[in-house]
Amino acid sequence: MATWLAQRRLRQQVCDMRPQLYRTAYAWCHDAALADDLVQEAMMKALTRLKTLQDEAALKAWVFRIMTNCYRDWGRRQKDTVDVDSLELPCDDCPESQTERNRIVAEVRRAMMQLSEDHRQVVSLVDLEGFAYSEVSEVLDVPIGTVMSRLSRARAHLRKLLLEQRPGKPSPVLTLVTTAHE
Amino acid sequence: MSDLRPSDEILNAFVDGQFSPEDRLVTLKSIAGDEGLSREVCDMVQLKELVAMAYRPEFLPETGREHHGAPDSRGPWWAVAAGVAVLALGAMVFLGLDRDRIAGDPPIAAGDAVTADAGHDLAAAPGHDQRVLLHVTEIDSASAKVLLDDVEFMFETALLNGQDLQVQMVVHGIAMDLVRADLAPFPERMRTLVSTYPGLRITACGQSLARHAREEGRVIELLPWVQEVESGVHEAARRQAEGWTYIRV
Repeated sequence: MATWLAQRRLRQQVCDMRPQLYRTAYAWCHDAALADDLVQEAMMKALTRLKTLQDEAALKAWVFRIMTNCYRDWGRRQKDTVDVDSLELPCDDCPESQTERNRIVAEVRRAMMQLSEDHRQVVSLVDLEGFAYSEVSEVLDVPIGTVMSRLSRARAHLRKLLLEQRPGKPSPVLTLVTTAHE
Repeated sequence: MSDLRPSDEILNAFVDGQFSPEDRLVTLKSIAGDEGLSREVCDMVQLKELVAMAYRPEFLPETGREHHGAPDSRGPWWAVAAGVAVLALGAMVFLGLDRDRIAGDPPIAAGDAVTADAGHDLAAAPGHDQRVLLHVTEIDSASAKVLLDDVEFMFETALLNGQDLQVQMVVHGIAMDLVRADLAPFPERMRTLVSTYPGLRITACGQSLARHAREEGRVIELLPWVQEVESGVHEAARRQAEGWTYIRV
């Protein structure tokens, strides 16, 4: 009974992760329907395989790892037809020019879309979900040194992209960055 | 630039709070002594905040299905299928049943009892309604609690995914204690479930009720939130014929 109660608690925790999973999935693919599918598939797999979880404390990383694998599987299936990095940011997700904040959101997302898949994943896991590097290493199944180098290169690239988005004009994002500490 | 300049990886780890307090202090001293480095670290912090802001929940499309219009036939089923799988597992593992016993049970109607794998079959079945019949024929107090927990979990999962789930519990035989006003082990829990989830209906077999009344020589009251059906077996067969997913508990 105690085991079952523990399983039930874990199941609820998996369900509670849905908003976080969706946010990260969306940051990876920038496609709401696909993000929704990835989350559904990951949750389904997590719920049905919950008994295989070795360490309850690692539940979040474990579920995110499942979603990472779902995303990889999707990528493999799409490889012949769709280049993930060439996907356009959907127009209805680009509330450009409506407000300064929305424009910044759109610019950051556009820059994120131009990152490689590996870089986008590591930035999302660290910046959106606050995973420790060791957890990201678990989620992505790569050494921690790889996590650090990917993250470093990803952020450098992201910053460069944001600066380049408006050649000749000061980027609102850059303005925000520079004015914030002056 | 100093030879002691921390690497970009180290600076990022500093920004992400990955260091022990001692290591953090060492890096902090390096950063504090170099204006360019300080600015770089501030930019990293701002960049991190910008990424977080760009994906704040209020800026995300609420649902992929609304976003793209055409619903994906897979998605809506997964969560419910997971609930069914969990419920079936719960029934098998915690209600003291196993696959052999289930396989050996005489079928109530045309189909056999659902196993955990049936959740996947359900998920794969296009156009299948999200309607589940729980045929409760034998249950003790501890198992009843588990059953109610699983029912709640199914509805929570369905709600989480915006699904319209219907579950009918058909109680009969020696499981009737579950719904008797004088013997029910969890009357309040059942009342809460029924009032919380409109898709849940708890029904009791009229034939079983009449038999218990005869044996005890008195009128037996059901819980107010339990509906009486003429025959539990007939109700189970009827629902199965209507396409409901059948799970024997």
